[in-house]
Amino acid sequence: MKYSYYPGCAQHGTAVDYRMSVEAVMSRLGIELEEIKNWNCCGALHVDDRSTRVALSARTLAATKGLDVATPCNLCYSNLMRANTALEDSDLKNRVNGALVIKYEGNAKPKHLLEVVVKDLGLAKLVEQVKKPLKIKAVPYYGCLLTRPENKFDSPENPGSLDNLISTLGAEPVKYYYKTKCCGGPILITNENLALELAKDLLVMAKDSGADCMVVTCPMCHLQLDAKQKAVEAKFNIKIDMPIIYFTQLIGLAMGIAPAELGLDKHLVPTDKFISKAGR
Amino acid sequence: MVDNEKPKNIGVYLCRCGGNISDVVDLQSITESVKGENVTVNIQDYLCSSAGQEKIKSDIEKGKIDRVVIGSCSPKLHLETFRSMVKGAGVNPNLLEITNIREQASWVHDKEGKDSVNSKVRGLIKGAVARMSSIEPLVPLEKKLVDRTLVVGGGIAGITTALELADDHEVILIEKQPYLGGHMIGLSKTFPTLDCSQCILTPKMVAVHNHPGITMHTQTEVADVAGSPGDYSITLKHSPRYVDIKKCISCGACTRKCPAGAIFLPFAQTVPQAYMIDMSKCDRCGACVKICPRDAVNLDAKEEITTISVGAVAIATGFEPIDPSFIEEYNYPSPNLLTAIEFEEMLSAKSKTGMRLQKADASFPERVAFVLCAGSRDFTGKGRKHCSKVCCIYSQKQAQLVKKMKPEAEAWIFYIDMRSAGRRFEEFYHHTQEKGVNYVRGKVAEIIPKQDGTLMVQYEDTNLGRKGREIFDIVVLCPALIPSAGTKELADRLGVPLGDDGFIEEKHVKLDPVNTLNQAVFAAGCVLGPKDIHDSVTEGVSAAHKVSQFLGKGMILIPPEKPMILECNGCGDCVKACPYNALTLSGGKAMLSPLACTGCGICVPACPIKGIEIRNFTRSQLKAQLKAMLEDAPGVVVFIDPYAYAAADIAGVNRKQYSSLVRFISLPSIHVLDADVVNAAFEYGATGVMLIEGTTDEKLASRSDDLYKTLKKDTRKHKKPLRYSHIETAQYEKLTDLLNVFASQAGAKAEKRSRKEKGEEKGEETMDA
Repeated sequence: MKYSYYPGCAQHGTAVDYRMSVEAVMSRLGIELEEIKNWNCCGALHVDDRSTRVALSARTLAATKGLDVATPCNLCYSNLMRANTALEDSDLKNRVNGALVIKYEGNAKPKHLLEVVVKDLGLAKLVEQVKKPLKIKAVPYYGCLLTRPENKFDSPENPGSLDNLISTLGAEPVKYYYKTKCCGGPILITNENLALELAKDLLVMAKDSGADCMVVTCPMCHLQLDAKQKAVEAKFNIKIDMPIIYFTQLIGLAMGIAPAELGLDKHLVPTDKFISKAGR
Repeated sequence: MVDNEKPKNIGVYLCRCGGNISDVVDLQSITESVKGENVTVNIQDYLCSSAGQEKIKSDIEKGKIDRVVIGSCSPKLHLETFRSMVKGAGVNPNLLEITNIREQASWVHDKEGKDSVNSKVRGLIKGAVARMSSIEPLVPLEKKLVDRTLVVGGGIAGITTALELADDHEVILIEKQPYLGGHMIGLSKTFPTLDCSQCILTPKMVAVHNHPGITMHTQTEVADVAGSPGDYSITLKHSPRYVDIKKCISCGACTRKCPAGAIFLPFAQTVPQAYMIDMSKCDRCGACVKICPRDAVNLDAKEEITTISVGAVAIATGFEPIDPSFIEEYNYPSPNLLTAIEFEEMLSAKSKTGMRLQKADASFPERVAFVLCAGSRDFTGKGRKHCSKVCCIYSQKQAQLVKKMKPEAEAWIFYIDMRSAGRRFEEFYHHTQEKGVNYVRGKVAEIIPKQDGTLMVQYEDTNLGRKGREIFDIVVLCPALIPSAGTKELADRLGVPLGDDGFIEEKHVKLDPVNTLNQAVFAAGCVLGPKDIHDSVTEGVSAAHKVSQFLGKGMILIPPEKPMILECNGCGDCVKACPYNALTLSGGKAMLSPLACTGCGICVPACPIKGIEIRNFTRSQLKAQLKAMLEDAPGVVVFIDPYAYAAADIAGVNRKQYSSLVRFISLPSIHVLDADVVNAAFEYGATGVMLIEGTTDEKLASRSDDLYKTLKKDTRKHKKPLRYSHIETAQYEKLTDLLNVFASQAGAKAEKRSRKEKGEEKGEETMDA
């Protein structure tokens, strides 16, 4: 299984732990990721101009050499998917291609790494690699951009693929009503109060559910829920202490990979209690 | 064929239908091309009006015509009217037929060019004229009716139907549940008067129980239907109650003795008053058997099968609430998240909380929300499109009950539109507002159960243009009301079509609201669509009247289009083929029992020497119609049975466009066809032939595949497309999609062939569609 790989900016910055776990897990699962040469930023949620945003993704998609494009980031994934839809408009496509050196025909297929593992590899294959079933409860948190407005592999309102992945690893996905609620990450700079309030809603419900960790699929969610967790605790005078774990880290733990190789020592919310519980 | 000496003077009458037809079809040009030596054509504004009918009548009486072809709306609407009119004028009713040029032409082809619509109508009328000159006058057969009615469903609609009928006609009432009362016995107070549901219903249930003319069976369902309208033999399946209803005196000794809590009275007012056993709880210790002073308990009771003979059936199987768990964002089921039916039951005779409104922790709710349209008015394909009609009013009633039980409690109603139309309902709406109920116009986005048992409701208030979130102790979902489970199976067995919403299709939406397309089957209550008690009772009364009218005739008229055995070598193939045992061999010849025969025509192609024909659907009559129909322009011939014909009518009413190349030929069943007729259609210029049937009679539908394969083989030489499809009445959209696809395929194939023929040699036929 080989994919063109579009890591996105975070993998080379704040989400180094995500990158470490992706590398550790994917190679062991036989999923080959060939990083796209000279890729650019997808624009995240910060480029307002539609044609610019579409062009940014189109440039990346044009360089995929006919392979499906895998990305670990919900924002990148959402932008690539939306670009493909937008480029069905032939006027826009002509305009965008006018600006590109390598033209894009609109035929590349973006996939989130979660989809690659759950659907392309398949949970039946994954379960063969599980050496240490995890005896923990986990919140399946998909974030706002993975399943909406729509993707081809899960329900927009009540997705289940991450739940199934968690069960496959021996852990118990808890009932969680905010699976696809916004974490507040994208507005952290512009409206910190609201951003922290949104994060608080998610964290409190996760805490109430009795889970040992929250599983995320997006570096932005991770940043918000992990790095800003202390700020949430201070602002609302509550104690959360909820480890935020990338789904690739969770897979790695179940495969028996050492926590340090998965970057689990790089989190701001300590993960040691969680790791020892998961390893029992 | 028959009666060749006397020339037949055919009067063709075309209806403008106040522009419904004439705006699209050029009736004048049709007139010019159809009229001839023995054919007169006349155009009227409204043929169904007395002026229109008078014209036909006077033409007959003056001796100008003796056969009638009408071009108008569907025969479903006015065929009987016209036929009784010509009968009065001395013409055999069979010698009047209607060609449907509204539902099957002007309403469905108005987006196409006028030429192609005119060409179709011309073909249809010419075909009808040719058919009319070839058919023979027939007299309907008479069959004695069984003066007994089966009422299916013991809710308020079924109870009313049974009681209204039983003074004059014997009634058998069956109910799936162990008790009468349907949903109504599970209601609290009833709007708009707030009288208690069981108080007004219990006397009716007792009356049913005591009426000498009513035989009542609970825990009973229809297992099979045999026979024909007016004379059904219906198999009933009775599930065991384990307590003999006749012996039980409701003393309750058994309940007190039972260690497993398995024997119980469903609720105090249960009719029939008898205990029952929940076998999933029973450990068969036999304590109840020993203690019962009347020897009423039998732990070994088994399911029983009985057969009854009835002339008519009234379906009153009602509704069930949709399971709202498919609305993922509402998170049903969760504690304190109820459906309105569960809310009602809590406050009704069937209450398990002592008729107390309470949360899961048994305390009284301080804040209650009502969420309307949970699963109804939904065009996304997930829920149901229809409005469930009663929710606006009953949710307001429930809100009033909350306020009445605790005036300082809050009640919120989240609605899309407040539909409280009807006598006394606007006043009820006003009164509820005065009680301080909070109305929010906007759909609830999601309902999130919280750890403490409360529910958070996120919503948009479209009046204030604001989003909001509120915490409630109880949230009540008002679910879409859908036909109860088993409606389709029952309807199929009785040959009654359903609409695409799953409710029973009325004979006429407005004018025949409790009749179905089966003359011996009637319907009342929510099986015809969601409605309140008042309307269910009205329909129960109406259905009883219609049943009584039907049974009162004593006789049922049977269509006279039956097989005639012209030649017979005694091989017995037809006897084997007949699914209804209507043919027997007697003295080495096949004999028909006309009353057992349904006229399906399956014997026609079965006869190896072509010795059987269906009267007025003989091979030569069908060929004559085909020839005339395709004379001027080729088209796609669609042989269609009455059930699928009804689907085409619904397509017409919904103005679903399809190709004007389609020419229907109406048959009692597609099984009368053999390769002779289909080959003739191809020879006369059909670019393709379809067989479409909608019958739910498995005896026929199970043989359609064989019929199709045989016809395909025997018509192969024409190299033209032939297709079979099963379309039930509700599936009109599937029908029009299919017709469009097939017409374009047949057209493309014909064009290819004509190009080829022109290239190779001068084709005899030209294809200028």
